[in-house]
Amino acid sequence: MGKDVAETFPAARRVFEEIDDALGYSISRLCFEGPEDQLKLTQNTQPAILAVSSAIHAVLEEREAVRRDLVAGHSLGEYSAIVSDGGLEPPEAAKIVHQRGLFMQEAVPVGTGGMAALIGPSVEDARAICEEAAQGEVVSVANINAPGQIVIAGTKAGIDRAIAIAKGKGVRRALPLPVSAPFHCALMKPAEERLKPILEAAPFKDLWVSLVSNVDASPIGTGTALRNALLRQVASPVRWVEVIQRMVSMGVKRFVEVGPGNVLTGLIKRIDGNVELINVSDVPTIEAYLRGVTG
Amino acid sequence: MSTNCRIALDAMGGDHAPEEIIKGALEAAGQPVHILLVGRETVIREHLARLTGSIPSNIEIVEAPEVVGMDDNALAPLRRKRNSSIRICANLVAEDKADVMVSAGHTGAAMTSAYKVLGTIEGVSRPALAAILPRAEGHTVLLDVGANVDSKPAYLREFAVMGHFYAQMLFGIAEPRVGLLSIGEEEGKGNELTKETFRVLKETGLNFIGNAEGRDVYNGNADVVVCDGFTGNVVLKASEALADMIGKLIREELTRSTTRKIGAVLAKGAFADLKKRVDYSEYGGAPLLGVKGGCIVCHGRSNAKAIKNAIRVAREFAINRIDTKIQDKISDLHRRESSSALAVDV
Repeated sequence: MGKDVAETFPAARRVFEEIDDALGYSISRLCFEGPEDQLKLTQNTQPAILAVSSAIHAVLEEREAVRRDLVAGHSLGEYSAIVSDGGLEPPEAAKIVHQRGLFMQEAVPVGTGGMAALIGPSVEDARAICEEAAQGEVVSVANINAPGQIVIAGTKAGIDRAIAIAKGKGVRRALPLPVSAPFHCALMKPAEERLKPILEAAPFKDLWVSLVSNVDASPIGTGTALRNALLRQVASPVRWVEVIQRMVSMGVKRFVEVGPGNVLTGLIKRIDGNVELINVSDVPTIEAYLRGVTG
Repeated sequence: MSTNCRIALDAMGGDHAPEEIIKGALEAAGQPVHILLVGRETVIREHLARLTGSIPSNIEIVEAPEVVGMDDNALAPLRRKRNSSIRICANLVAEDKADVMVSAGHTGAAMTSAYKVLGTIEGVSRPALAAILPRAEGHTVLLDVGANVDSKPAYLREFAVMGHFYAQMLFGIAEPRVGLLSIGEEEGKGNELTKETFRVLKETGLNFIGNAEGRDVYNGNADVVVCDGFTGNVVLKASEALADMIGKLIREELTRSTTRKIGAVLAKGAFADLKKRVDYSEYGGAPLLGVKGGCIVCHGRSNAKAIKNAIRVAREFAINRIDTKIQDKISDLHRRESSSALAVDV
């Protein structure tokens, strides 16, 4: 992940180096060479994804191809979105998300929490399924990713029950996700607590273009607002559908996804079929984008 | 309103106008924002020619031959000086040629122009000027700090709603804690205005935490503190003077002996950080909440950095559509009232 980008663009390489220095270990080597089981640990996955996204963005920035009116990011991606508008420097952001990953992992003993994807139900139906499955435990909607694409999180037993209930109710697909912890639900409260002082101490700058936040689907820009939104999103659902709808209602016609993969492009396509979508995730897509922007 | 926000910037208003205002506009021009520089075109062009090679494409000049001076009456833009830069800024917003106006000029004249030319949001009786005050951790929104001298409970309720949405945006929190400025914590404490307002605020569905005392403006117990403009203005001015005085005392004491002077030099970074934390220019400007579109009132002393920040604040303000949120909430409150009045009648 990101290896070709770092080898091709010096600006990207610099971002990886800065992040490696800040973290005190080589996340770039993990990114480029693995081992896969190390990269899969969320305290590594989080800074790794952030590093790749920030590195690609640095390339676009160097070529002055970053004209935008608003930014947003999905969960961890909010950090990259903030980096992209100068709200945080990549090394600072990487240090925070490394801790974020650790805290999220340590919030719940391994194997006791889970997440599942529900394909088909409305948000209301998904909430009803969670309520029925909870039986005094935590089971709740964690991501509203696209119409009919909902992720739920909670205790392992609760998630198993929710999957059974969903199937009983005729939900098209209900499948457990291979994640190491139940993100974006109340079980993450201990992680939120531990992240608080770290976010408070971090040198946030006010954004110019506003971030449409996961937690409120509302545009924010001050350092204080960014800190609070990043803190609250840890144990709250990612309201991605509303984030995109809000951006479209504000006049956004084109979305450029910057970072490894193209999951968000796929989600946005399902949320609104009328917007232009561009994915910038590797050397060919970076080059194509730069050609398109700079002519 | 699209994401391409248009800002009407009063180029002639402020102690350091037009130079610092134009510099601020140029510094902001790298961002996705369209700036209408309002003032004497020849003067603006002279400054621009000196400050920059070519005028950025997102800066436009709008001619306004008159200037409201500091000794002018607040009503000047409505009467004698209808072609003043402040008035033209308001006209541009009223005519939907701009989304928000920003001025570091005559505060009274800016507020009057915004109030009378833009008008208030449906359901809002009076606009309120909101100040952001620094505290040890975070900030507090205080309103009204001077848009109105006299107030009624109904106005204060509107201020509470406006402060709620402003704090949501500013602080990124869902339910800002709203306090009512009074002279005691208990419900029965205060004057007629605050006692009646207390009763009204309890019914708003906002996160109303009850009375806030003067100290609560600075101790972090409330995110929003609501008061009438007379009181708010007194609090604001007294606070500013107190901060200035303490700064002066510290300087005096630190320069009294050589040892202390050395200490002061060593602690220079700490003082710089402290200054940044209480520096008005970091916040850019105070919004006049409750008017259609929006109006950001900047400090008369605004330098280029403060103007640049004010443009940022104005953009964020416009994009957030706080006016729509305020309108919806207030009409909701009115609806609930009329339905409960109906229930009583029946």
